[in-house]
Amino acid sequence: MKQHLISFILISLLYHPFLFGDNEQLSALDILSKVDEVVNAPLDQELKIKLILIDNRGGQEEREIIMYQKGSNKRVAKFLSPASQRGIGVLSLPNDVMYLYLPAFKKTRRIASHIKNTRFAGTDFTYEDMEAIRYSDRYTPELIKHEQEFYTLLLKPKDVSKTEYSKLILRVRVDNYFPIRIEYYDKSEQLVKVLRREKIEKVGKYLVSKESEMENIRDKHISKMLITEAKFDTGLSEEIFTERFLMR
Amino acid sequence: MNLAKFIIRFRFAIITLTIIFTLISVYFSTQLTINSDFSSYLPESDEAVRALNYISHQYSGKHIAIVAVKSKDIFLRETIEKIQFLTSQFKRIDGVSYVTSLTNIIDIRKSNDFIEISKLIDERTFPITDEKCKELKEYVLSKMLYRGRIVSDDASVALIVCRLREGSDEIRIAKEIKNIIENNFKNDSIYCAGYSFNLFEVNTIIADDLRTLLFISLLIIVLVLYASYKTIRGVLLPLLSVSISILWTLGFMSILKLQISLVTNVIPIILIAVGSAYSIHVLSKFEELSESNDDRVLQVHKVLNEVTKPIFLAAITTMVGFISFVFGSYLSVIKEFGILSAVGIFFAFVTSLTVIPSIISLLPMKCSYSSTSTTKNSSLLMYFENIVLDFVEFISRNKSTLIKVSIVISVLCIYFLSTIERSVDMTKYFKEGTDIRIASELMRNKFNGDLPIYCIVRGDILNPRVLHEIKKLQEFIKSQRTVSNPYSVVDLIEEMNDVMGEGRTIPDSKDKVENLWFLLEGDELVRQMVNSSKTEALIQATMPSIDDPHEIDLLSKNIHSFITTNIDSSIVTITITGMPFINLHMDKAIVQSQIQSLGIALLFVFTCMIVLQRSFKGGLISVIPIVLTLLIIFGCMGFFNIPLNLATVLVGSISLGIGIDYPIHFINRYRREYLQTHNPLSSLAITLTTTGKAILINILTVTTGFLVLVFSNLVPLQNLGILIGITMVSSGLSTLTLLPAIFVAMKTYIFLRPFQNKKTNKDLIM
Repeated sequence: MKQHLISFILISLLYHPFLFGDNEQLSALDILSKVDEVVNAPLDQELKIKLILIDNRGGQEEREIIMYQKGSNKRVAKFLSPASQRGIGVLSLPNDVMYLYLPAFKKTRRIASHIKNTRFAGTDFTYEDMEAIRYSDRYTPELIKHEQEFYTLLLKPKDVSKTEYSKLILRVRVDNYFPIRIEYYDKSEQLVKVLRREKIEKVGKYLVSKESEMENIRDKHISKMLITEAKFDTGLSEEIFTERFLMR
Repeated sequence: MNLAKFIIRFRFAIITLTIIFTLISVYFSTQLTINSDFSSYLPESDEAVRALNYISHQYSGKHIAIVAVKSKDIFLRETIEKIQFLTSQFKRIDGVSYVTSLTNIIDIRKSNDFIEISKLIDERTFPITDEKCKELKEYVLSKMLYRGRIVSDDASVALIVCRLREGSDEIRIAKEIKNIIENNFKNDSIYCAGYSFNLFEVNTIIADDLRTLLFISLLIIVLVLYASYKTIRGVLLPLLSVSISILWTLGFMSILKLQISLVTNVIPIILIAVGSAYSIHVLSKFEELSESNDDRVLQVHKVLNEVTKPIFLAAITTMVGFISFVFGSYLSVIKEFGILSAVGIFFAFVTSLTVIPSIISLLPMKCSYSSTSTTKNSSLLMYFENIVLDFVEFISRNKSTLIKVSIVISVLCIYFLSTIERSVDMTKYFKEGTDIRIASELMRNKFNGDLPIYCIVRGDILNPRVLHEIKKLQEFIKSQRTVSNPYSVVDLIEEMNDVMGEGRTIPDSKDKVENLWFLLEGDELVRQMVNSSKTEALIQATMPSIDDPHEIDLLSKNIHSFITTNIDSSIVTITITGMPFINLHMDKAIVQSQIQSLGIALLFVFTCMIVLQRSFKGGLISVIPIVLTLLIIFGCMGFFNIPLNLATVLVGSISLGIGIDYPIHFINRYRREYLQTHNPLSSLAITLTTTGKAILINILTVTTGFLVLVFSNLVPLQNLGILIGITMVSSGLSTLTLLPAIFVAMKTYIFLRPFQNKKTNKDLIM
């Protein structure tokens, strides 16, 4: 469940803060590049996030995490609550390097890179979902719909072996390139997950979705992510993105 | 006269209403569904059923469908690809909550400073080279989580286990799984096992049986009727009466939202075999009177006056036999069978006395026998009478021998009765050589069975003390001969602990367990082991289909006794369930049902006989043939190893209900003759030539009707058909031999008190 939080956070980090862009006639690749720019705009960010995990019977669990991110590929998530998971931390570094810290064991373990399609700690997020990526690096876009307010992009993986998805469908706002909805399709072309982003507000110079939710279509499981505190460009130290910090 | 007048006056209304009711019934009958789920045959309040339903609700389904892929070596690239393909396909089926196979099961391993919690085989770890395949094989066979659970010890069979979501249509899912296999790997060695496929097969068989057996049964009755009457009306009218009562019964079932079960699907056959007799009697009487010059009302009156009482007696005793199931059975499905059969018999009784006379009254009067056939019949009759006279003499001479032989047969049967086996093995319901039997054998040989059993352990699952209790129980279950591969979340936690460098043990603190849980939570396999609030865990194990309920009973007692003496009840509570235990409860219910329903039916019939004979002794003598018959049936079950099961449990009460008709009619006729002649032997001769003949014909028709069940594809129904056949022959023959022997031997005929004011309608009905 905690991982739910982490994944959520990481995913939302991929998208949420961004700058306004122009809305001239653009190619699919131009649009996707703009999305990448918007998603990865802040130099760094510090977020307090409340995750609400809702199972198919309506049962709820809450988690709180604090998350630090620098650029697009360094990230730390630490659990604040519940007490049973307090102190557990995940560090994600470039080149698929991930560390996990378990406070009860006082040990850090590296997590193997080939487990990207594994669900992380009870959530509907996989390790892949948590990766910080530039969409334009990994996917080939196709503009499948251009409405007055939205672009709809079909993203197909450039290398199918590096992802568990066969395609993504992004619904991107025309006015600011904010991706407000992402559909994830598995290898058999079945819709498996949908990420929806709501309550989009401006914090400083960046846009933030204060409320977003990932719905697992098959399991009817929903993870809601509420951002309770957001700070951008505070000059986070490199020290944070180390194993030592993870164990603190 | 009132009923006859009523029928003649309202015959059009009766026919119209019958058509309307029948059309309504046809409409509702088409909405009937089949329920082959044995666990639903027990009441929901049953402890094992309640626990299994709870698991179904909490852990996404109680039943599993197992697909076994067989190969000379499972760890060949193409076989792994096959498993991977099937796993992904099965996952897409609506209603499948989890699919577990080699290609997606959780894998926990450490290497240097890495920990990997991933799928055993995925796109990134798929073995491409032979060497990688070999490595994988060694790895899989070295881990108890996989070996013997999803891969056989000899690596020749791998399983794909589908858990079906609560409330999903298991039959449809089983069919879809079979279609996927059929469409992609038609000629490969892939077998379908597990309860869901058993249900699918039973369902298919029930539907097929219903069609085929009904057709054969109707065909037989058409032939018998044509041979008897040689007229179209002689064939069509009884057929019409039976068809109407079948349709009304099916419509009635549908309106009550009941489903066709393994037991209730026999009802149409019963109605054809038993219910047809009523309209045949009515028709016979009409044929008899066809040469008279009476007007229609008088003719209908005469017929009804003659046949109503005997048909009523026959119907009521049969209905009592069926209704006894309502009071005597714990199994809902047998209660339903009792009520519905009784209702069906009632419909057959009503239609034969209303609809048939109404229709006949509209048809032109005709004589059905030609003069030649009458002459022919007369010579046949004389021949038959001569045989009967010889037979009477034989009985008179050998009365004590007949009685002694019956006693010896009874004693022998009582001996064999004690050897009756009970069967709760569902796979034995299928004929040998069927796919389901082959798959079940494969599962038994390679995985020690395909029936899951569960222990629900309630407590704080992340508490190491609780985990130790789970482990203790799991170890004990492992030591039981009939159970194999018990596993629980303890196995995964120990493995994780090992990965964290603390050895393959349960962590020593709750914090550590909670930390490990962080890594396990959300995995499909884990979600099948622990509930979302972590207050409950399942220990799962497998058992083969066990035929002997005592063995399951022993296992249940052993586990319960271990729990009582070794498990700390202050921190955990434990409930045990699973199909073997449901089967055990089913067996107990079957035995209880057999004893109670038979007891009730016997008591009721005995009381009826006392009232009817106006003598206790008379009542006692009347039930002798049926008691002997019951002993013979159960003796045969013991001798021929026909086990007591869901279908054969019906035989006792059905036999009693139908078989008691013979002595009733025989004694009634004999009494009437005796009171007129006061000569026991001549009374016997007359009774045998009249009622005796009718009994012989009835034995033939009813036995043939039930023997149709021999064509069923379900073994218990075949057995039921044979046993009822034996009943009819035994009940009929003992009425025609033992009963006369007793009459002659008794000499005083003390119970044959004269009826008062009973000069009419005591004729035979046979």
